[in-house]
Amino acid sequence: MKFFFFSLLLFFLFILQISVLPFLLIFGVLPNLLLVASIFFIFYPLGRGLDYRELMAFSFASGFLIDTYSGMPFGVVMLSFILTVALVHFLAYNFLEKANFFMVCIGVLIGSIAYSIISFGILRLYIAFNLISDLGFDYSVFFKVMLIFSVLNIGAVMVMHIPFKKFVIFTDKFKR
Amino acid sequence: MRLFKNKFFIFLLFLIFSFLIIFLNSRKLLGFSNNFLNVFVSSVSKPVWLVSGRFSSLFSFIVDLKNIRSEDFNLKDKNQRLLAENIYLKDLLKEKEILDKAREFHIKDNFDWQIGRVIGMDIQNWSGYVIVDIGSDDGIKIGMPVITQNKLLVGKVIEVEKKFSKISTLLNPSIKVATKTQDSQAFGMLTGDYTKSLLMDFIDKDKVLLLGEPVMTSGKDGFFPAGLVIGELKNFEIKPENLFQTAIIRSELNIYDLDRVLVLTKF
Repeated sequence: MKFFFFSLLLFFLFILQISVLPFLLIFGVLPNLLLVASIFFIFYPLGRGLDYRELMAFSFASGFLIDTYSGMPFGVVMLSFILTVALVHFLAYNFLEKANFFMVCIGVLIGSIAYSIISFGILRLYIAFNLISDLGFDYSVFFKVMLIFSVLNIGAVMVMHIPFKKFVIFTDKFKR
Repeated sequence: MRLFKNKFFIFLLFLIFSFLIIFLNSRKLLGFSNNFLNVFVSSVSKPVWLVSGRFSSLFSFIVDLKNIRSEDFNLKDKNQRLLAENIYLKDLLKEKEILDKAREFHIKDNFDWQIGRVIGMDIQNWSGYVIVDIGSDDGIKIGMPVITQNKLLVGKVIEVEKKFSKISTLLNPSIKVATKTQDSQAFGMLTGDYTKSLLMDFIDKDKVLLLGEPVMTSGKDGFFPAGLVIGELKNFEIKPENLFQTAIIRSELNIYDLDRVLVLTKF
């Protein structure tokens, strides 16, 4: 049952991401709700919500879904999601102890920066292996986008923090 | 089973799985599942997209409306500024025309003048006073004649302050002007009666006046230079018991139309 609810949430966020958010472009950049959700669930397992395996499955599925609709080469988002969530999970469990709103914001900030850098790195690897052609890259644009992306994701946390928290508490009533 | 609880192993497993999917996709082996996913997702996302689009259009419309209001305000503001600028430029043009004509007087008649703008008039009492924005600071003195740019006699200065002066026009009966008719060369003394019809008295009985002939200042009183336009002869009357004949002169002066006047400082 719990799996069903999380799948439903995943699908709902994905639909929101591809259908609604494109109308709310800010400086040409969108927040990534699935990334925000994945990072949020790192901070709110605490014996409920998602365990590591489920979390990785959630982020893998998120990446896969976005990859099918993304303009980037297939696999970039999926790999970036898995690596980012693993990194933030590692940092959260080793350096950040409390699970509160502020910590989630820090996690999302780190996650957003890491996601941008990892995606960029994977893209460069694709280019290095001649899987895609190099069309040139403007680093100033990259840093600007990364900054706006991080701010937007933190904004998304502010909006979705309470609904996500309530969702975790709600799904906790059901067995895995 | 313990292996599946190891975080690194799980991470590695998902990573390998991801590479596998990427490999399968590159070999076009995921086409069917991708198509299925696309059909399934688009069946849900399409209506959501349409609804979002409508909301977005509505939102854009509201934003546009706000922008239009702001633009409208800016345009109105700009329009007002342009209007003010236009009025100012027309005013300057008018002043230039007046100055050009006044310069002619200076050359032809050797007049010196100060140009003044009418800033008020005493219309309530029908006394025929107007106030202009030049005064003693501009060299204006009591008694100086006042004319229009077309050499039409307006009146004379009766009060002077530093920055403005009061002018009594021809309509006021207190003003007396030595006049003459242009064609019959009949001389007389003109007085006002608060209307546009002025009384010209002390005209030689032997002079044959012509209706409609122009009347101008004669310069014999020493207060007004000769040749200033007053109006035209409208009517005249000869009474046997009187020594002189009288005439009614229709003044060309309309004090409500006065905008700028020339105060003759030297003539």
